[in-house]
Amino acid sequence: MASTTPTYDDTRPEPAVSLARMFYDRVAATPDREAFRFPDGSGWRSVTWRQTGETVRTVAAGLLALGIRPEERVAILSNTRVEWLEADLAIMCAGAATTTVYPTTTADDVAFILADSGSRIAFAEDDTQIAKLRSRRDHLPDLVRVITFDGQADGEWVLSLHDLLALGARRLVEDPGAVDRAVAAIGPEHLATLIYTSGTTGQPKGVELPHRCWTYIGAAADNLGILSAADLQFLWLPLSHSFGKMLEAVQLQIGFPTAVDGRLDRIVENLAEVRPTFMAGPPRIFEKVHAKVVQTVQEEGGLKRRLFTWAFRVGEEVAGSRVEGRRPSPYVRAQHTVADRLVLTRIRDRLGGRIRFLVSGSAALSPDVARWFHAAGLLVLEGYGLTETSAGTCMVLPDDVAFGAVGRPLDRTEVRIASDGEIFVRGPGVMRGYHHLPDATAEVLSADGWLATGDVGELDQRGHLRITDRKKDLIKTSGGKYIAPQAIEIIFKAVCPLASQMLVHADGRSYATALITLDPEALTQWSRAEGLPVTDYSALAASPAVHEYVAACVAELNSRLNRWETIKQFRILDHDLSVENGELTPSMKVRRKVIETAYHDLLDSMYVPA
Amino acid sequence: MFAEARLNDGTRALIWDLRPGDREAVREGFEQLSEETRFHRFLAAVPHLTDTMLDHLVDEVDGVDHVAIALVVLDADGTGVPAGVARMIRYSEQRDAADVAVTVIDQFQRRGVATALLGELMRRRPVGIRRLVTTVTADNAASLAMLRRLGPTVAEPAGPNRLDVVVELPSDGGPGGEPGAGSQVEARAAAEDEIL
Repeated sequence: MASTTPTYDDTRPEPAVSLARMFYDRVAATPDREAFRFPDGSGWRSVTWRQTGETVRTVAAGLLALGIRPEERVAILSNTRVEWLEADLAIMCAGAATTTVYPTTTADDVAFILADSGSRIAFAEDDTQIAKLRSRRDHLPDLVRVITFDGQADGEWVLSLHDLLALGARRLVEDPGAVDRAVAAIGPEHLATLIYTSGTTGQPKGVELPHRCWTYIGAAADNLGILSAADLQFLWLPLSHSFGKMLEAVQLQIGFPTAVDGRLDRIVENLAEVRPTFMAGPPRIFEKVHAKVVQTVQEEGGLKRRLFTWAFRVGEEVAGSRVEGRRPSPYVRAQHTVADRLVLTRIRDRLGGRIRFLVSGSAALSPDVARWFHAAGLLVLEGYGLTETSAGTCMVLPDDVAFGAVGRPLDRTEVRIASDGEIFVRGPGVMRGYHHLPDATAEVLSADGWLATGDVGELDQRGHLRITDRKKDLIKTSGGKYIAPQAIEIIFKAVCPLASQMLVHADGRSYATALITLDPEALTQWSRAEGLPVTDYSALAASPAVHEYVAACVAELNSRLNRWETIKQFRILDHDLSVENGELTPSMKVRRKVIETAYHDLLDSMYVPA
Repeated sequence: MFAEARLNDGTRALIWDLRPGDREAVREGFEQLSEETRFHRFLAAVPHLTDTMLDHLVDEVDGVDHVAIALVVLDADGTGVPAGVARMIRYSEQRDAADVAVTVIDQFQRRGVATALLGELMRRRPVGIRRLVTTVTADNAASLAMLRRLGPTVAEPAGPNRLDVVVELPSDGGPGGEPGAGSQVEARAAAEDEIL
């Protein structure tokens, strides 16, 4: 069992040439230590590195038996669970490359990603994922086999994990060195992972991350000196996202155990049971904890609310002193002891009571939320990275805390700010390129290795990077997912003949909403055909009949989108956007900022908890 | 009024005023644009030009407060193929400021069409216009470069991937000399010639 005051050990392997080698080294270095913990019945089960090594080697042999060759793609469509990690490690050890697919991705997008990546085998979690593949099988000629964790196998196209293990075991009897040879043949530039990211228009692009990206991230995270083998991670992040995947490399390098369970509705219970020493997540999870606590206290009111407000004020004062390197006065310290016992420790207990720090990444964390956690004695360290940089570029460190900044670059990663403010990144974590898209690659990656991030920012006096803006038409939700408003607006205009404009809003919010305007001529025509008595725009826009019609269009739109892109609420404005109101320039360019400022309250109204 | 122009590769072209009769040509031309080009033009997803939009973009062109011109590429036998449209529109509340928009059909992009259009537009700009005030996407480096060539330029962030741009125009009628029918427009811009 891990202690709350982890110590360093000397079991860390030298930087490896591949993620597969890194895994082999980890198994050899600490075979009997706990590797993973996962739900089993009503409790948790643990496996050691040796046991994981055996499973992974057998699954890898199974993939080789199915004919997988170096750098060929194997997809994983699954929620976060221990089998995801085992499958990924097996793909690595077979010398192949993993295509990661979100379990919530639509069947059409799954078909695109698998076809574009040329995936030959897919791990599909359950019958839901298998159904998506079956429904598009005609479009997936390269996909020779599907392996399912929990779904129904058919013994032909769809095999169970058990079937694959049996194939692998047989292969290892025939050729015991098959997997070892595959691992030995992997070089640092060989493809390890393909992760698809949205563009502003068109289809998603496959980001090619070779093995050196992950071995670098593992080593760079280790160099930060903030984690040790005595830590215990709780992992629930989607592993199809680079942020989740990065944590796998960090674990192999450092060797701490990880409790894995991707079920979102279990996070709170799991934290109490697992009692991890660190956890990573997108800002959304921290916002949720914050909002829930604040709301509960508000509702309870009275003395409890006063006590809570006081305790956080004291907590903030102490936390602020620590950041500035000052020691609080004896009086404040005494107050803090009481505040901590009565209130602050309870917040920490909600997360299991042993958290040393939390890591926030994949979208901007509100400095207010970060300060609130800090006042409760929970440090949230913010990081910055893109899928194109293997999720690791900058990181705030416990001894150099800054709120609203994303920290300094990792070792051997360079960051520079162009004259227009765009952030450029160079280093071993930078992708090889976009999968068979040389032009798109050349647009962002220069010959000398600098990646144009599309983010705009500045380096402050302490060398911390601050992200201030973006050069791409992509919105990032507080869940860390990209939404391409342009693509959504195009579909909406295609499905809604009444539409004039749709303004998708989601920046820093937990879900997407939209402001909608209607085309006056189309609206008049429609209202006549429907026999509606009114023809005035604002009256029609407010009418239930129009709302119902537009709601049906939005439902149709949502059915074509991935779940995280769907428009959860919308409002129809009482006029179409106009030049007169300054919402359009005279040449009819949409002035998004003017509109978002003018309708700030209306937008906020769509984010009030029900 | 016609003006002759020559693209980077020497192709001959004509620039003329947009008229109400060009409504269908504008509608059809828009259909040929890529999603990306449409987006850069309107900073929103616009799959088709609606009648309401065409009323404003074609019928309301008056040559006084709203000047709009089109460039037609001439092929070997003299047949004209529409390649782009540019317009300048005075702000009602700032009489010395105008918005500007240039659209080039994708297949003609990077050939100097936008530069030719912009040069001619500067010659025919509404009387009294001293500044251009517009919004572009921040990733549209070509547009920014083109605007900067017109005069001292200030660009301020206006939300994610948007820049509000103000260009102070020189008082001599802009680059390329005095206004005049049939003046030869040299298309000087190289590959960055694009969309605004």
